[in-house]
Amino acid sequence: MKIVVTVKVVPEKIKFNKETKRIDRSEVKMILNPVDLVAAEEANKLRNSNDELIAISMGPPSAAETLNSLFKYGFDKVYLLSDPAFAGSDTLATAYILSMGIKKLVPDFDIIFQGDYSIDGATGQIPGELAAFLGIPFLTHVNSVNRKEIVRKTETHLERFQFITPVLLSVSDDANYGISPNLFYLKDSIEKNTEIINNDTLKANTEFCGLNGSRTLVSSVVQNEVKTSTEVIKENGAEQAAKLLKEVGII
Amino acid sequence: MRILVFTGEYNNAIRTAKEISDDIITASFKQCADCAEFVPDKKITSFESGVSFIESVEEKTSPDAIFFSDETIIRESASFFAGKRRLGLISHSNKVFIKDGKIIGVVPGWENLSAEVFSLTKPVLLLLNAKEKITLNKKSPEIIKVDSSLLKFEGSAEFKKNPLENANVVIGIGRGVRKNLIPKIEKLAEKIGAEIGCTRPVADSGLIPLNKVIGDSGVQINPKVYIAFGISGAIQHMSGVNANYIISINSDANAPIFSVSALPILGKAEEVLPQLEEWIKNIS
Repeated sequence: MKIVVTVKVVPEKIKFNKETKRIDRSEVKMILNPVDLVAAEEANKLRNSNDELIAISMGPPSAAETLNSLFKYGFDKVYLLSDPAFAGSDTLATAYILSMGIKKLVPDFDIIFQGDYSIDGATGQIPGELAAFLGIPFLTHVNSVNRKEIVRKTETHLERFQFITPVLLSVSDDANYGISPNLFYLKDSIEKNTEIINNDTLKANTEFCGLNGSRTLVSSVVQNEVKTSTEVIKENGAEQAAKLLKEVGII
Repeated sequence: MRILVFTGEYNNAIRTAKEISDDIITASFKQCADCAEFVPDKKITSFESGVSFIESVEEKTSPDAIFFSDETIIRESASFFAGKRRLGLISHSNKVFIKDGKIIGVVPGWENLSAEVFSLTKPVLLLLNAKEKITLNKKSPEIIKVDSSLLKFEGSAEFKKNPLENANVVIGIGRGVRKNLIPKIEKLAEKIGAEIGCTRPVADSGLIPLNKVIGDSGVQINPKVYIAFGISGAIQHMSGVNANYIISINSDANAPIFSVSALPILGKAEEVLPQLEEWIKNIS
């Protein structure tokens, strides 16, 4: 089987410049989106020795260095889709570019794993849009997968589905503790490098990429109004708290 | 402006839609006799039936905008529908308003910031945070025939509800709490019959399980009293808190949580906790 995992490189911490109203990305450490490492572990649990594990990411060329660490986890190939034409993509444009990457680089894939959300965006709508572009079935909030069935969690139920391929599975953040590096792959991780794919190779229609291809736009970023209380309790706070608990019948 | 609203377990999206338009059409992913104008003819178990339901109702009603309650199967169906039709989809909004004739969704983000997002395509598609069940006038719905799913549904089991949801008292743990204080807070919780919850960064650190996260990406709580230790009150967390009284303990006098607290206590968690224990012992 060929198993694809999509991976996003995200800032570890968000610094927001209140004057320029922009996210300050300078001097911020970049990491692999933690939920994608949970998805990678589901892929890892499923794979046999003759299966191929392939990571696909989209981002600036600088993301390649962070992506190189994926080889320690046993990925056979890591691709970074990177082109100036891709910048400013919303979820729809991102899903389109990823679908072009998968069709070009791994046309005979069996399963695509994604994390349910990225810590810097959290829209959770890429899986559905990507499945639509690829014309394949998909499920989100997946908790476990084996070659017989898929289990996922909705707001109220655990649901079982028959396993089929090709399929796209978006994995819940509590499915497992995330993939761990493996000494077995250490040599690979020194020798292998992320392959950067630009649009000369990918040949995505630039009408559908980046800002051109985006169908939603951010009109402004606003700071939520925060009323700061002037009357904080500096003394006897614990006493008042205990009395309140008594009053409402808790103690 | 005609707005078509898809709901499921929760239906507060209808109220949000009514704030900006009088021409509202409702459709429910759940099969029910009186909750909406359109319902499916069979249980929707995955996106395929969901997308065919959206398409049929859209064709019958020609809406200017479609609002979706942000619940698993509805979000799956909406995002596949958006991809298939190449339409913009505004994600998990808290609020909606109209500016220069455009529908704007307010999407909560980090650091008490929100993005105001609009769509360039019609109909405007928008996911709305799903939280409440509201009461509606009874209607007899039109039943829509939906496609079967390729994904074969084998069965389901309702899981035990997270005890946080119905807890009478919840103690929240935020980043302002030192690691060694957590067992002591757990002891207090046990004593007063409270459930423990936390903010996402605390759960991400592995100190408290992920199913204890309160907020946008976690559980909605509805306690009588919420005691928040070392929680600043970021909107992603507070959106999950619906408490009669909030008691907050924070060492930052400007913590946003103070503005919504019945008792905004300025102080370090490690100092206030033993005092609180002592007072509880004395009073109860």
